[in-house]
Amino acid sequence: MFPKISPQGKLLSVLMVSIGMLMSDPLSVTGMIIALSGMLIWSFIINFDFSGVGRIIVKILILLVPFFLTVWVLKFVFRGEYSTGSALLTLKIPSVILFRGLLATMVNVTVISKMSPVELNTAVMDLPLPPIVKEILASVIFNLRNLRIETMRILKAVQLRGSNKISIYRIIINIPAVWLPRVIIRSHRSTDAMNVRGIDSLNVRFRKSECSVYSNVCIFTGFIFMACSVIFGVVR
Amino acid sequence: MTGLKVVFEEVNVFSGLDSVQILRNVNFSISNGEKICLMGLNGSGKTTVLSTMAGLWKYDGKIEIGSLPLTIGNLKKIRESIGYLFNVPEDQLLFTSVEEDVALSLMKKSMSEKEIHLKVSEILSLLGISNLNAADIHELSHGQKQKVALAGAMICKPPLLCLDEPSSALDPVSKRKLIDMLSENNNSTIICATNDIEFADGFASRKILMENGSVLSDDISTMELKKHWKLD
Ligand SMILES: Nc1ncnc2c1ncn2[C@@H]1O[C@H](COP(=O)(O)OP(=O)(O)OP(=O)(O)O)[C@@H](O)[C@H]1O
Ligand SMILES: [Mg+2]
Repeated sequence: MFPKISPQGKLLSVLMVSIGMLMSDPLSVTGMIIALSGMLIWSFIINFDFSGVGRIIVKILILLVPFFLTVWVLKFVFRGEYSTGSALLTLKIPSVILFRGLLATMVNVTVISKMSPVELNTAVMDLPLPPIVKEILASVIFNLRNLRIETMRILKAVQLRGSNKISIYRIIINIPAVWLPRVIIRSHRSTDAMNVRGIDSLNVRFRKSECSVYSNVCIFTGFIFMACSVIFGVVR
Repeated sequence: MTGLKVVFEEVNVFSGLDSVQILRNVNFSISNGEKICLMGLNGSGKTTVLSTMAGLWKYDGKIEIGSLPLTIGNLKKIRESIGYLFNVPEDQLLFTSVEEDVALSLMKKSMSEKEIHLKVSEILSLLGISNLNAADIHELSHGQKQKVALAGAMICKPPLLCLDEPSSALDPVSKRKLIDMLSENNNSTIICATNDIEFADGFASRKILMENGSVLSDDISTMELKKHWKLD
């Protein structure tokens, strides 16, 4: 039903929508309207897949909340020295960051994780940038994708294997030591596979037919949304 | 009979980080068109032998594939003649759709869309997964992913097939199909790492036994192997 959007269209619009989200202002009505309507229009154009979004939001919250809770507790405890506002006011800043981070991460995770390595490469390789920058960008995105896949797997394993308090505690203590090598090794293995299958120079292009007009509409919407957020932020 | 000859002479491989020796004086010779299985317990070095062949490890000694010594300069040419199945099939799937991924090696040969489509359907039906043609790769089961990766490795009938535990995720029916496909393949030299004795005997003309990174026997019979592993 929806025309195919080019990989580049997806990547660029996701980047701009994320920037828009990060600049959004959930504390004012206008800011909230811009953020939510921008998100809605864009997700309609890109044919955003809402299945599983709930689960992803919960996972992102699990990752983000402890961090911001710490920030808030610290601020609250040291409020005499660092801040003059009430506890509620102190809560405001971390929650704005949480809102922005949540939306931006969700947009990224859901769209980019559905793109294949070759689709991502095509997207980056078509950008008007110097080759060396594109190579670096491609490898960063490629590794971010691996990072996400491996992290989701580890979270699943934690859910299943940490059935009582003690084991959950021990697992969480061990996560940094387990997680990093796993992500690195996975990246290594999939790079090896790309080399052996002959995609070392990132020369294989995405073949699927895609509509360039529609892709441009998608990029344009992302741009408008980003511009609105930025302008509104500056005006305030 | 076509396919490439593969020779390992006194090959040693060390792990990069701590310089632990992984392969010790590995010697064997596989003639063109031969179908062999690398047998060995976990950690014996089967995967390392295969990945060294694909140029993924630095090595001492001599390796020849076809008539070419395995060097950095020849690597591209050698890799083009290898169909490789990785131990973790997921790592080698690079596209979102099954058809595109399987077609990768054909796409590089500038074949017409129609021909590519025909060939992909053919190999998918040989593996019994025609129904997955348009499927999204993320949504496949582990065994289905292994079959898609196999199809991608075998589709252009490469002169050398390196398969790392190809039957590990397959059900008995699919395993049978794969045995038939490998038996009927007259285009390739086949080197397959596996621990599945029944699978090996289904198509391989010779079994090489590895232990602790060395070749213990370069032609071991099923009976000797079972005795060695104390399976009887
Ligand atoms: N990347 C690596 N770095 C260091 N050591 C490694 C690496 N990969 C494998 N090894 C070591 O090399 C030895 C042989 O490993 P290899 O994967 O070749 O065994 P295998 O015979 O394929 O085992 P399995 O049947 O479990 O797949 C093992 O002892 C392993 O610890
Ligand atoms: Mg192995």
